[in-house]
Amino acid sequence: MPDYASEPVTELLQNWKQGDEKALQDLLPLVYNELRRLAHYHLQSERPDHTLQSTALVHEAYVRMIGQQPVQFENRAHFMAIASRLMRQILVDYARERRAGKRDGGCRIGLEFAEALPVSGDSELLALDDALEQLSRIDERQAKFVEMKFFGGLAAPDISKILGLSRITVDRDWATARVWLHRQMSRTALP
Amino acid sequence: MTGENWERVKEILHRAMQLAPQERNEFLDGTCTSNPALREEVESLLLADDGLHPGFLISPPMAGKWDSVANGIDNAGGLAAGQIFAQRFQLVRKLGEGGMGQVWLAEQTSPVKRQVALKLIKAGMYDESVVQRFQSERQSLVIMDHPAIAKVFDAGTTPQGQPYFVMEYVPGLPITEYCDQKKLKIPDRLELFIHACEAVQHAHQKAIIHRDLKPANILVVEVDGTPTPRIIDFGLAKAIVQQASGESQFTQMGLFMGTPGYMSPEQADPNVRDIDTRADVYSLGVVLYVLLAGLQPFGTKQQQEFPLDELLRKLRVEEPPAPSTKVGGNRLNSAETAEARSTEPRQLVKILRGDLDWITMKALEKDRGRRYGTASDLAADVRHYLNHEPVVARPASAGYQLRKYARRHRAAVAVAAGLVLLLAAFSVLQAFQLRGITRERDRANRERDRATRVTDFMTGMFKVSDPSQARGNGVTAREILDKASNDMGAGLAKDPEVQSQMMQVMASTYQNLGL
Repeated sequence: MPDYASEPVTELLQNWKQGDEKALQDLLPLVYNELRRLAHYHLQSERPDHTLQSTALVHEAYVRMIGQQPVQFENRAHFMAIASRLMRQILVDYARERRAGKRDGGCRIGLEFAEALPVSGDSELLALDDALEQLSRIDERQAKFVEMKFFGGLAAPDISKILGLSRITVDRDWATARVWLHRQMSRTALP
Repeated sequence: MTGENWERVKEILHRAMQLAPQERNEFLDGTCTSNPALREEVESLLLADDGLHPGFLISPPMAGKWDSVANGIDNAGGLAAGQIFAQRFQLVRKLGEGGMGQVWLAEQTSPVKRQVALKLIKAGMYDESVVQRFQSERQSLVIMDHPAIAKVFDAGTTPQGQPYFVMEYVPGLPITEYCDQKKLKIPDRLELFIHACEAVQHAHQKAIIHRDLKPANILVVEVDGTPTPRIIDFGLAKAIVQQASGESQFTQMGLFMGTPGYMSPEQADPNVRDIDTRADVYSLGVVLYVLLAGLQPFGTKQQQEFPLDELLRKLRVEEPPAPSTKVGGNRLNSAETAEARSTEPRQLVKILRGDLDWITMKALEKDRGRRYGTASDLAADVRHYLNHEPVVARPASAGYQLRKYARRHRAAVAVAAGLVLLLAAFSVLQAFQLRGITRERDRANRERDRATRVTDFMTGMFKVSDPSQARGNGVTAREILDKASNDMGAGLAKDPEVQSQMMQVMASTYQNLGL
């Protein structure tokens, strides 16, 4: 198995925090690959009900890459924020690919996701991605918040700490973001 | 829309959302008077809020869709049905794919013809050291011989160095699924579980720890119509997981992470490096828990509700609810759970409460020193329950031992209890009679004493023994009466009833005599 010396990861996080943009450039592929690998690893498991969800994957990636060594909260937070972003990217990429495949008549549709779960299908996911993009133009912080909560599975109190927000602001941002995104997505879905 | 406007919209929208629908108009009238565009925006969003699915953005992106994601990521492996592997296995179909690699149903052609399960360790999941420890481990796996353990026929490496296992093919269902499908009652489930424990014990005696016991690895097949558990993948975890010095199994390997619910706390603890047979006892405890309550100790109906690190933390620190509490506290699913056990929710809680709760919780002790020492101890205690004998897991109390004894020897105890009851009734009757007799006797004695006392007193009245008092002449009635009155205080003090009666007699005598 690939051996992650977790030291570079923490070190990269540290450097990035201190303003080294190159550190982020080095860090992203590491995290991205780990997430993809984990996704692959779980998705292929024999029993679909045991597969982990994307949020769990983000956490697992964290555990595997940073491991048990003591890490400052800020580092963890940054890692999670990055991983959430990447998770979103991975999901969206594959939704796009699959949709392209479908047009060629090539891809099968998994029946088990047909149940009416919110944001379950590819098109919903892509619509959400678009809507998030638009939200980030109006309110970047809010879009980031949604990304960390939905794709990264971070708890609201943690996010409020990372973004330095009050509890009330967090509640407000979350409630209004849901409504706004929902409206945005149904608007784009109509035509 | 500009950012500034959005801040304002957020503020008003959020407040409006917390109001009842009929109050919203008034609120908006008050806040957006001068700004119709703002009001329109808020109203449009409120409309969107009405149509909002309660789960929108709440449940994380579904696991299910991962299937195809994964296919897109990696199609490597390149094995296909019909292909010949390692010169003597013809691949029939893929049985599954896990973190370690793929499992194929294959037809072995030589030296014997048989169907086998071929487990191929994925490239990237092994290196030189894995192959080495794998070689040393395979010997111990091959010597395991128990009807309930799927045999490991062989293990080897391809010329490219890829390790593989050749195992007995077990066409069975995971134990929990089998039991639910057949709607097996609790005692039948326990019988199966005991068999599984015995198999684990066998392996433990050969110094092999499973390390990844879970329902998916405890399959049930029907042999001549009788369900029989069959444990697969014994010892594979150890054979494959490299354990470089100073590193725990946990940090080394994502192997168990797919099913962290069955992992023992010590396996989740990076500081514990010696995993022993009691880790398997814990995992068996979780299996038992699921067989009884339908859910994992920390599980909910919605799989994987907790992020992984949270689950691991719970595993190490939190005390799970007892199985009966789990069923009782989960009204939504308890009907379904009970139905799969051919019973009613309330009945199921009743069955689980007590012995089965204790047994399960003892197997799930965080401190392995407090768990059952061996799988057979666990099996024995389940057997105690089935035989209505006291279970070891229960803190001893006389009443409990007695209840168990009574349950075991129902007829004898019923007869004995009847006899005791008769005896008791008889004794009570006797006691009543005795009390009546005693009372009569005491009354008679009292009457006798009183009569004696009166007689003594009367005699004393006429006895003037003091010579100084006898003046040689006749004693007057008055003198006698006076003396008696004087004596009465002391002489009859013992019996106030008689004393008062006598006083009355004396008084009337004085009166009648006109004294």
